[in-house]
Amino acid sequence: MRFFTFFLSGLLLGAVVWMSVIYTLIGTPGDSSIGLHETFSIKKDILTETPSPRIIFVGGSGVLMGVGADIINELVGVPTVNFGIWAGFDLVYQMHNIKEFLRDGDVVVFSFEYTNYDYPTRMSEGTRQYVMQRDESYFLEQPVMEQLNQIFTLGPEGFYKILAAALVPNVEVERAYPIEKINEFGDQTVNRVDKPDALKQRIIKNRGPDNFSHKVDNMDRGLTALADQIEVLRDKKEVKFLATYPNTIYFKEYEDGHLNQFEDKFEDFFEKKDIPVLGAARDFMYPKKYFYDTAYHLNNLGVEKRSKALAELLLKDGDIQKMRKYWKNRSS
Amino acid sequence: MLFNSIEFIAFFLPFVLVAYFALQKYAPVKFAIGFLVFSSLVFYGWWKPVYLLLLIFSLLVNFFLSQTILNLNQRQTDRHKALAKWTMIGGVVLNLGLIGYFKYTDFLIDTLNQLSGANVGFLDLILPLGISFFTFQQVAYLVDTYRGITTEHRFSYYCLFVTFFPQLIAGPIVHHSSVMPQFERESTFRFDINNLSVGLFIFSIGLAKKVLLADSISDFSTPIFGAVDRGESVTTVEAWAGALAYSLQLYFDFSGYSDMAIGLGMMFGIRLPVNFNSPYKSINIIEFWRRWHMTLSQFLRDYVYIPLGGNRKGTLSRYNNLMITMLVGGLWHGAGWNFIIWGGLHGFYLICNHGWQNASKKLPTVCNVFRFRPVSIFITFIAVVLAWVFFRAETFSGAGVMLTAMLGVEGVSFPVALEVTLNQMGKHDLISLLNSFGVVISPDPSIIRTKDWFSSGVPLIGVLLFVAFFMPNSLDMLRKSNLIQGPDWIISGSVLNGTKGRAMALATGVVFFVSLMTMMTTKQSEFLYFNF
Repeated sequence: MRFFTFFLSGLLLGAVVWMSVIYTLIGTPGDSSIGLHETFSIKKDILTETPSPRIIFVGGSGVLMGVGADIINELVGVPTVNFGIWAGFDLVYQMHNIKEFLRDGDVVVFSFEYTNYDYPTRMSEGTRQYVMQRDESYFLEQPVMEQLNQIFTLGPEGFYKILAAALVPNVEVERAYPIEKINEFGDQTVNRVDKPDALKQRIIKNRGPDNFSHKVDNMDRGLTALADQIEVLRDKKEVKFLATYPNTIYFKEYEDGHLNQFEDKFEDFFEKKDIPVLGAARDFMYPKKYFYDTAYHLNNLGVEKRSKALAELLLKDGDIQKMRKYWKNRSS
Repeated sequence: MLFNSIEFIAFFLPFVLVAYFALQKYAPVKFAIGFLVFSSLVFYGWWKPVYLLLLIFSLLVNFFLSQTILNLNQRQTDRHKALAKWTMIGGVVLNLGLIGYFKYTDFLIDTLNQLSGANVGFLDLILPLGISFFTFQQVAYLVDTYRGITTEHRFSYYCLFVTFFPQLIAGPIVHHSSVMPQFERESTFRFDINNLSVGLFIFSIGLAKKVLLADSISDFSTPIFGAVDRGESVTTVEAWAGALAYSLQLYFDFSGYSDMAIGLGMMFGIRLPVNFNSPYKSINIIEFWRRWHMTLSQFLRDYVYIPLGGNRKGTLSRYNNLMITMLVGGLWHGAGWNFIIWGGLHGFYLICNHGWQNASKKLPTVCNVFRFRPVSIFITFIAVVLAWVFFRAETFSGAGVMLTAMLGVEGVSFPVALEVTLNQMGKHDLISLLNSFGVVISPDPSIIRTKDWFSSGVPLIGVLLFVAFFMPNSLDMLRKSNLIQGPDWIISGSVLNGTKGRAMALATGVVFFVSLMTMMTTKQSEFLYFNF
């Protein structure tokens, strides 16, 4: 029986060590998250400094490198912020991040990437890693059971990352994209088409279609999470919400009917929430020549194309027209 | 149901163990055996209930045939002996027909289509799990019954011998002589905390091998074999990295499964045969096959190689028999030319090995270098890795691309990502040095393009190679610590409950916890040998 007692003790010891290490190290800023953190900080500053009423595009890196807030600002005549960061953050965390910066009168445009709608309602792996390294308060705000769930479903890889963040600090890491290329509107401008990169072009060339059948089957989870967050934000501020589709590569395989099903569900959801949808999915699906390094990242030509299309759609909205007049009057 | 699944570890196994030992304590032993057979059928049916019918059919027919042979053998007349022989042959043909139908029909159709230009449609049959294993076990039983090696056994014992869930799906290929005598002893079914403890230890080690090692390295082999099967080219470095990664994945996957099966058997008081004994430490291919999938090697030796004549009819005949045996072994693993080539390659290796052994007796000085153990182990390992390429690649052309790159037939090249990493590390001289040796940088963006390959993949391959070559395996650990002794693995209670046993228990608990954490957060993966 002694063997079993010690075996169980080992099991328990493992659990206690695991939990203690993570709780001790929560909030230790790891180098793997530094690029995200810097982008996030810049975007927060932009949100703080940009006057209201304004248009805020929320989403992942598909917004960061897919929406030209500078172009929209120019064409619509309303201060516009690109708050795209990373699609690895789940919808709940993306919505949480804009919460404290919203002011009455703002217009928030959801342009989440397709993959965001697939996420389960619990924290995504990317969110968890970031939050454990950089947003301790968000982690500790979660119910205790959720915290324990996060800790015990972290997996050894995540555990090592957190441990490495504490044990090997200040490692110079390569940023995915240079932060100095983020302009005053929050757009990442590294995606110039006049500087082609063979590796990036190859990635785009080899990129195949996404599985929309899978997305249709799973999008309810993402939409449910989003619905809860919309209610939270509506309770807090007088803001208007708009939704749009993300930019991605067009494939003829998308004509098999699943994309239409996705659109039906998407539009039905936002209609019920009384949120207008800007454009259709295919409006923002472009040939590969408009993409930079992934199926969600446009090059500067693509950004221009999408931003002009978005500006046109925004100008059809009555509230945006009022904002436009407001800013026109103010400037005159 | 997979051994590395939560439903197995948290529900199925504890329930079956508790119920089995409760039945064994409070009811006659036959109820406990019956329950174990029933549980094994549930375990099997969990995957696809309809194939339970196949398993039960195979079980009933083979038991009936073996009883018939036994009865005919007892009559001792020539007519009855002939009848017994034909019953045995009929049984073997039936078993092989069954496995042939499910496993080889589409392969046969494909081959005929290619040869004749016909376009016969495939049957697209799903291979029943474990059919290769339970068929071979029963073929051996039938043949041995005819040979008069087996005695009369109870139906319940026979059912347990075939269906016992730890070995049902991916082996070991249990020979009746290794378990039937255990079933005859009532003590086998008696609850023994020592068995349970050691079984749990071995099971935990196996689980860790599968979940922590094999599954981790699979991320690094799959993309490279996927690329060559799609017709993409790979650099020399990538090809070796992919082949090494797969060699280690298969090693730890199979080793892990074998440990888990033995551990589970032990929990129920049943000693299953060792199937895996650090094969990469082999000094030649002959030894490799004594250490890799040992029960299959024994089966092929006893039921293919020796009946073909073995080494009794001269050297040439021996080599011929070796080749046929290894081709059968290759075909057993899968219906495809790549498996046949893999078997043929191992047949060739074995012939070379036997030939070399004969020749080296006459050339002692030349052979000295190969008697240096590390050199022998290295050569054997490289030969095995090269052969695994055929085993893993899904297409013949894919295997060709891999081998061409590995052998540097079209020049030695390394991926551009390696150059980037070496530059970042400031190792410019190393790049120049490689270039001066004619090593070129592939202009194509490589598969190994992420830093993960260098920060995780390469170190992981290094760690796994170290474990495979220098660490003791689970049974060695138990033997070295004197926890088990002798061929019957007699457990030393004093060691188990002593300081050493307690330390092992504590460490096993921690390892088990980490394995559980990994299982809960990663995609569940099947054992590679489930495909065979």
